[in-house]
Amino acid sequence: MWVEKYRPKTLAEVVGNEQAKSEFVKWLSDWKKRKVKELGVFFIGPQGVGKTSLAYAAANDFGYQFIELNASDVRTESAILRKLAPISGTISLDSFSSSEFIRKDIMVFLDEVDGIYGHSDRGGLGAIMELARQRNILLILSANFPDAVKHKELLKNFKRIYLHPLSPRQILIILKRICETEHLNISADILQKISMKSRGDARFAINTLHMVAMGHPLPEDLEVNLTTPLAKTVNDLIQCKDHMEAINKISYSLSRIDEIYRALSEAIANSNLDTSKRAEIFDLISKIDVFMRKIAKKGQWKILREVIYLLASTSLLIPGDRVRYVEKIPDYVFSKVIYKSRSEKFNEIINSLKRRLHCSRRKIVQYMLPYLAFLAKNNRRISGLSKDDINVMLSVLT
Amino acid sequence: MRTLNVEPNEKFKLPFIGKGVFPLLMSAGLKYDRKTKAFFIDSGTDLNAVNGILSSRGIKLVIRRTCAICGTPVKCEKCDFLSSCDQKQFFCICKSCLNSEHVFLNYLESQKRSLLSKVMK
Amino acid sequence: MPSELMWVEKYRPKTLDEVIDQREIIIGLKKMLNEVSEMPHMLFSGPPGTGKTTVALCIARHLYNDAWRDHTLELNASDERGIDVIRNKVKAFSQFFDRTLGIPFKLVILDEADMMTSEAQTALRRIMEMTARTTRFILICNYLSKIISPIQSRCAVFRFKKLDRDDVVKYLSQICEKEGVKYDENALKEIYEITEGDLRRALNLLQSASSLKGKITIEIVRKIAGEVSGNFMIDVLETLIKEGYSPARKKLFEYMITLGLSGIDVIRLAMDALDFMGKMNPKIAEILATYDFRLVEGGNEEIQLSAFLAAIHNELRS
Repeated sequence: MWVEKYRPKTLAEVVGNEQAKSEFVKWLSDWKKRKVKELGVFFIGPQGVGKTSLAYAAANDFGYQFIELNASDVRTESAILRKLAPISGTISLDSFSSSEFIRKDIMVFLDEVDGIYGHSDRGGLGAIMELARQRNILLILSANFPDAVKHKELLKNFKRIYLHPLSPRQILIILKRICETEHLNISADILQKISMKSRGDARFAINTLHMVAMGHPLPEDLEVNLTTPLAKTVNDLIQCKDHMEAINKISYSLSRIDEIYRALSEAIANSNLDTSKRAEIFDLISKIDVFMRKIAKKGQWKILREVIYLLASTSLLIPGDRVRYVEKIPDYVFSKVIYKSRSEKFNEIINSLKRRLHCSRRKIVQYMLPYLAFLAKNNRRISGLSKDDINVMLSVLT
Repeated sequence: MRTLNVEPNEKFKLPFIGKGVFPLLMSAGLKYDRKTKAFFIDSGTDLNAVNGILSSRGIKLVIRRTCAICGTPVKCEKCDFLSSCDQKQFFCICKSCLNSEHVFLNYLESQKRSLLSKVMK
Repeated sequence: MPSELMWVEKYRPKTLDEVIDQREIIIGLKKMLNEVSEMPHMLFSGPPGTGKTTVALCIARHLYNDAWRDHTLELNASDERGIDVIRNKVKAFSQFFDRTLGIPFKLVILDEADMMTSEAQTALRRIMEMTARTTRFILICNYLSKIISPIQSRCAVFRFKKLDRDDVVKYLSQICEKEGVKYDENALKEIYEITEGDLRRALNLLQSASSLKGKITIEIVRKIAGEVSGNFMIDVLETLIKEGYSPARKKLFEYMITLGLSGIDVIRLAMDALDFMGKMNPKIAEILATYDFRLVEGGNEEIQLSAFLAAIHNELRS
């Protein structure tokens, strides 16, 4: 996806919001010198203007390990692709290998905190504050419209930096860069049109450029969906009773289609559905996911239309009265960051066992660890494993 | 109406505005530096709201927008894209830079210089 | 209290002659090692715990003696993050070549090659060609059919057989003598049955049994085998049946994250677990295959595993 391919890797590459950029850089230098009173940074601004990019680029420039926790637990293709860059890693289930946990300070980017509020459950504010207070973690939050009441504690304790919609000229620079690198022959007129219709949303502009480059004609009614947060789009989609209506909804949010079906998947997993219905819907979403990856990998955007139809049909199957999407960081994703040092130690143990026993991680976990634990419980000391190691192992396994 | 041209982070003084107005300006995002006893705007400043408050005192703040690449002032009134621009950015790109051949590379270079100087401080 | 080594480590054969069973393979290999410069790439396939990795390491020792670690690169396809990582490691490894030992190549041992997608295997074939002057590969897999034919045709293929029961029992009894452990012969036979001839598992089970006081009997062996399980999928599936979908899914992800396993690892563990629980049937096998495929095609792990769990749940309930 071009949004990821052209994601800025250094701060200098981030186009637009230079004011926010310089405020951020100044704050980061002060943070390193421990001269700030805030617990972290809060990026506030509409979608597609550079909140994630700014954080990611700063992580690269300042040498932080970048970890993205999407508050709605919706990992976009982008987050997974970002994992492939040398010093970044996302907390997704895909990346739980030891090599990702280098001994660096971590920048945790928590996207879309708009939906989070309340201390009642682990995914809420309390969790965020706890995360912010960890010494080796720099927490960056992002939101479109934080609520003065609901998010009061966050607004008070974090440095607020505002990002604004880009100017059409700034968007044009971004598009021109891509055209040059991709050797595209797109008329200045079309580039201008895209820049003007994007309303300052760079992601929208890049996706539109990509579609045009793949042969889609520029839609006449090209319009970016400015204000809808993901949760509203997803819940509206679940409530749709009409195929055409569903298709329209999806078409207007094409730039985040992967976020949509992932949010649907999360909503279904957490709802109280019939076993067979759940299996049926999940099977469809699973297929959609595989198709989308194929499309992204091979650029077969022509199949996108079929995928949209399939997604619409799937949405209609979801009973609107029993399924609802709620934004929350799941416990399991969250505990990984909190228990980082224990995980690191555990990974070290596994790696040393892998080397000594010449086998894969899965084999160690499946065939060696349980026996090691058994021997430890029966007071047999294993050479190469200290008492500490044994304790870490036992605490992880139970 | 008196127009005051301000640049981002540049400190400026306002004529006497009255005690009651000060907190209103702060909540609209105007910033105040106690050491120099002067105002400045930053990313969180809602310029429309600030001007709404200051209009009763006959003052209007206007951002002196400059090109992020070459520093020349940009004239928004003359821009082809004016109708589709939210005009929230503090910097933009001037016409001649925009039409130059390696505009993105130029942007990169100028950003590198300016960011480096900020980190050096 | 003195510390002990894991017996799988302590008793791993260091020379080809010490390897149990696989007589034909050993004879064939020894012949090949006579003409070292003619040694081809090799592909070892067979059930787990039958000696494939051991033999590969013995070859390395035979070729390079004590310096074998410097001349051997061990890789595990399921733990490396993609073919590019593998390519870079192999390239870096094969670049620095030390002729002083008189062996005209370095050795790369790539385990679990059947976990690679066919695309990755194609790329692997190119890597093997690119580095052919200075590097020989020993590929190891469980399922030969999952290795693409261009690779099979470029390797000398050695099919490891399941180990013979009497040979294993004899070997285990020798170890018991060396360790001063009393045992019932029936217990050793039971160990063979339970571990299905997987010598790695057998040694672990034997060592665990020896940690309890007294003679090793069938009862003890059965008891331990019942208690010790590295397969958390059994716990997940039991939770699925007793408590329902959400708690099981939560458990699954907690385990995966804590243990650092990938989606494909989970499918393999699920297969073993369902087998162990006696739940395997054609429909379940189809579900396993489907999600293995979708994950290998690059599907998002969270979605695919959530869907997998839902499908299994549905099948188990009907």
